[in-house]
Amino acid sequence: MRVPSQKSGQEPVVETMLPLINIVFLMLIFFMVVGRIQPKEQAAIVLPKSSIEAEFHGDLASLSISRDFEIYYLGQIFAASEFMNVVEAEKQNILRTSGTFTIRADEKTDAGKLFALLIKLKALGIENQDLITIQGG
Amino acid sequence: MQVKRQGNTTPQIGLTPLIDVVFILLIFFMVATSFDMPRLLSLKPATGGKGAVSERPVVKIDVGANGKCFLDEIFYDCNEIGRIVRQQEQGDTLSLVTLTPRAGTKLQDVIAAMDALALSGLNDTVLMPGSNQGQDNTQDLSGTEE
Repeated sequence: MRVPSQKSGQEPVVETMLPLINIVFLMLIFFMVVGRIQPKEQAAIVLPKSSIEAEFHGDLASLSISRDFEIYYLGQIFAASEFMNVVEAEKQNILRTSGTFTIRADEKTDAGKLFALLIKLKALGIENQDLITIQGG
Repeated sequence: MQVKRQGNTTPQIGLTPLIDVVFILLIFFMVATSFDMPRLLSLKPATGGKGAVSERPVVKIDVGANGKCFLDEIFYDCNEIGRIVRQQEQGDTLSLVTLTPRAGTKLQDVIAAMDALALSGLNDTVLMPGSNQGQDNTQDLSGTEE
């Protein structure tokens, strides 16, 4: 069988690629407009699902807590007691900047331990504590 | 000097490098993009003895694992708990609800209970430490009452 060459009247390659390029461009624009680049987080955390409406427009959480209750704060991993010492030392800075802790905790984190930690933070003067969730439930 | 004329031939711009770059950009955005819109849930932990005592009627709910809630030691489904609390209320005063996780209760279980309460209009739930945390569980319920 003879393969027809371009010389024998077939369309140029660029013209046949145009619909593909159009679709790729549309997909690119869709992902750029609709999506949101995932911020880099240290801990692999599955966020809890909630149906309570309140959108979060920030990027990074101030505090991440894994399911094994490892606390990721300021680029380091702490146990709960060490973390409280660090917060106590940093208290003035925290209160001067925002006074809010935005917490990213795994859905399987022990709730009792987490709430005990929140109460200690509140006792230190950090009144505003928000938890990041995703839509669901 | 003799200038060479190009004649009728039009210059061709190669599209291949452009397509390569667009494909790479597309793959990057497909991999790095997230469509989950995060939400913020405002938490109101108890104040550990420093706040005012609530004047509103207080309803204490224990949250167990797997969607079990306990109100006055009676077991209810956590999805129903908001409706049950509202039925028990007398008058128009909204109760102040405290949520205490039992041992082994996961965060998702408590958030499910908070969702059910919020659906019934009980938005300001006060979070208590778990009964296994070695703390005094009779903290002031001033998460919202200061």
